[in-house]
Amino acid sequence: MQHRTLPRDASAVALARRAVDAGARELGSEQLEVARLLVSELVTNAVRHGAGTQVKLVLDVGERRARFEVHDAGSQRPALRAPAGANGGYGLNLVASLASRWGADPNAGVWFELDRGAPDGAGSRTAAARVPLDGALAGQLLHTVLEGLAEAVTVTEEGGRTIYANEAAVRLLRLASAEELIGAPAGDMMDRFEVFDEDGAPVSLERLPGSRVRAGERDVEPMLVRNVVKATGEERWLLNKTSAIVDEHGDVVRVVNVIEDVTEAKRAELGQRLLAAASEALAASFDYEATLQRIAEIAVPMFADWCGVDIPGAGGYAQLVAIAHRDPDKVALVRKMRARYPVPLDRTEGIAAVMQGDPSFVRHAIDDQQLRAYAQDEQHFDMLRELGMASVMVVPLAAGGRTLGTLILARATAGRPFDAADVELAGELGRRAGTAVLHARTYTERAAIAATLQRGLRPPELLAPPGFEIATHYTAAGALNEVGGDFYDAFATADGWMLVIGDVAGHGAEAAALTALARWTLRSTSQLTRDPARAAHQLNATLRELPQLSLCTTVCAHVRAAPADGAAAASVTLANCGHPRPLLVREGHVVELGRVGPMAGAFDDGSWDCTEVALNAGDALVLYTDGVLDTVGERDRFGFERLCATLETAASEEPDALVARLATELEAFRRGPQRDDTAIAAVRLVGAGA
Amino acid sequence: MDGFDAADLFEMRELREDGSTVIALAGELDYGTVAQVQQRLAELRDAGAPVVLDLDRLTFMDSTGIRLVLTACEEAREADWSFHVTRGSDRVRRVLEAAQVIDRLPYRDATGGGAG
Repeated sequence: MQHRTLPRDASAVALARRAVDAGARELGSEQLEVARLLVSELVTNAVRHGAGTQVKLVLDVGERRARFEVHDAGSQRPALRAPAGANGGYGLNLVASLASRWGADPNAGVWFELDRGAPDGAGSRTAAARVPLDGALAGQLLHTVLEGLAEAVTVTEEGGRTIYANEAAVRLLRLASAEELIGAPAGDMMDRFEVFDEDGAPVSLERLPGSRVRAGERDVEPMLVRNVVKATGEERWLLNKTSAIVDEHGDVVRVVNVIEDVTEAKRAELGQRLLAAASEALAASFDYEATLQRIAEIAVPMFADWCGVDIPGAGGYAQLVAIAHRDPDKVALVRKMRARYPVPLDRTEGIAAVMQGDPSFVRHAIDDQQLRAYAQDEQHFDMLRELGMASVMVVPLAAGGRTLGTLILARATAGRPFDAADVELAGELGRRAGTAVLHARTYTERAAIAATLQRGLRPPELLAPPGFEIATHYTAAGALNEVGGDFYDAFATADGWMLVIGDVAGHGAEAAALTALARWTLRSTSQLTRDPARAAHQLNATLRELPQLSLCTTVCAHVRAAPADGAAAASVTLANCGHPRPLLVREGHVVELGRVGPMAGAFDDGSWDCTEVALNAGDALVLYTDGVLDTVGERDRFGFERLCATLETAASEEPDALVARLATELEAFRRGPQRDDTAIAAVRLVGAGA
Repeated sequence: MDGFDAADLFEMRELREDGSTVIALAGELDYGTVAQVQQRLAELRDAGAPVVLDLDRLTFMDSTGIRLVLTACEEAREADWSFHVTRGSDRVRRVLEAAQVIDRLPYRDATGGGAG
């Protein structure tokens, strides 16, 4: 170790270099150059930013490394004094990039070391400074780095033979030692694995990045493959990255393969994808058997080699409602096996146990002995083996605390047992599928109820009062289970006919129930009293008695052939509960009739006045619901003006033609789906009365 | 220290060439020798004289030299002053490369500059 004390002034920098020339001459010329430069930097730093009158330089050149320390009175402070300013910092950058290591502390001042691995090499940090590595140091350095890497690294030469494999590569390729690999031809290793791309297609040796680089391709993208160890069935996801080492002619002389095991990340991603795909399938259809089949297909082959869904079936056996197998030919085998060896639901394991409420049934690894114990006979055992039952789990299709069925997932090879994360994922899949089944069943039930109600609510044909012609039109918005809230009715009273049209708030089964209530209330009251106002009053009272707010608009029109004043051919008496006013079409003109009273069900008290209108022969009375006015077109709604215009155009036509014309106009006007139910009823007085 | 004088190891010469002033440096440029270069560059900058700083004969240069050159480059940009450097000796170039500034300098040949 040598100490040199220098004056802390501008001359110290050159003096320090001379001290390095004298004290570190055994360093090779390149390392000596680095040492002179870095000592200059540190001494400059001490002179410019330090304290005291002296700068002390300590040189310690050993066989393995050379150490240089620079002290000044200020370097008792451990913090580095980096030169400030835009052009500052280069000195310390040089130290940082060219020294093997460096630092600053109160005792040692600011120091750096150069490793002396190579006679003419620089420190290990020289890569950052783009000084080429060579010789023994480079080799040593590379070895240290490569063996410490978690990624597998192999190097192949021109013909594809492997000339290097690091520790991680030996582990990843499931080898005993690197010697197994060194010298082996490129295809040799491939024989031990099955390799698939992300889409599940087999990958040949030629498609791997290493082969492509060797074949002269440039900028080969990293490739993600699913690698299955043939011997055990173990599955990994491997990311292959490759780069070429080229000679001075640009020819590829070596290929460096870096293989990263990304199984964990990939499996997590696959799990998410599986659930996302399942959710999509579940939301896509209310046909739950088709949905469950899609769930089974999504799980295969990424997650399981085969997947089945059972629900409780007839006779106390499980009923297989969905099945997918990675080998489509084996789907028939599963069905055949289940037909011959049905799964009784009174067992205490497997599907039966989960169907009865167990949270899951998992057999991570099943050997032949266990399989034989489960099988009912030798043929059953053979079938089970052919299906592949090395690892099995059964989870419930759970919804609302109930088990609606089971999901069975199996892997055929021993090297790929289900683990805890897989069971969790399957459980989630089961929960989602269970919810879908529940929804689908509820939907199917509701749809059936609604269809029944709707049939009851829509009289296929209204009977015309004597002397009148009648026509109706009805279209419900929405799908099958969206029973319309619109209704109409026509029935005889003691001295005439009651024509009723109405609209209850809401849709679906509840609206259907309310519709029925409104309709039968109006019918019974009207028949008893023959008074539309009292019918309206009774409807209001009935709706107010219901626990929830129930609203209904309606028009009751009592048509009598015997005129009240004896002059006209017939008359109509109207009561209106918040409904669009009926229209009288007379001699090509349209007139609104009556007064609008409160909507039924809105208030406890209400009064509905009757309006009586005389009808002449040829007059038509048109009742309709607000779906007509609210029909949405290109720019606006159909509205009252268009309704009147249509009716005036068709004023002289029979009710059938009139209603058909209006329906056609509405359909032509409408843009987009129908939003509301639409009902129209028209009656026309044809004769001089009955 | 042994009668050593840092100034003996550094030389700065100046010549005119194609309308530019070539400042040719030789020997070791460091904190001990940079001041005279800084002073002369400032004078030429203030006079608006185009300058080529010839680094081809330097046997040593550290970050003090890098700072000198980069500062002059900045001033040239700001004051519309013509300032260039030569390619530099191998040792200079190794330092410029290690400091990762080698691609950022305004180079110009100084043919024959300081040859005498």
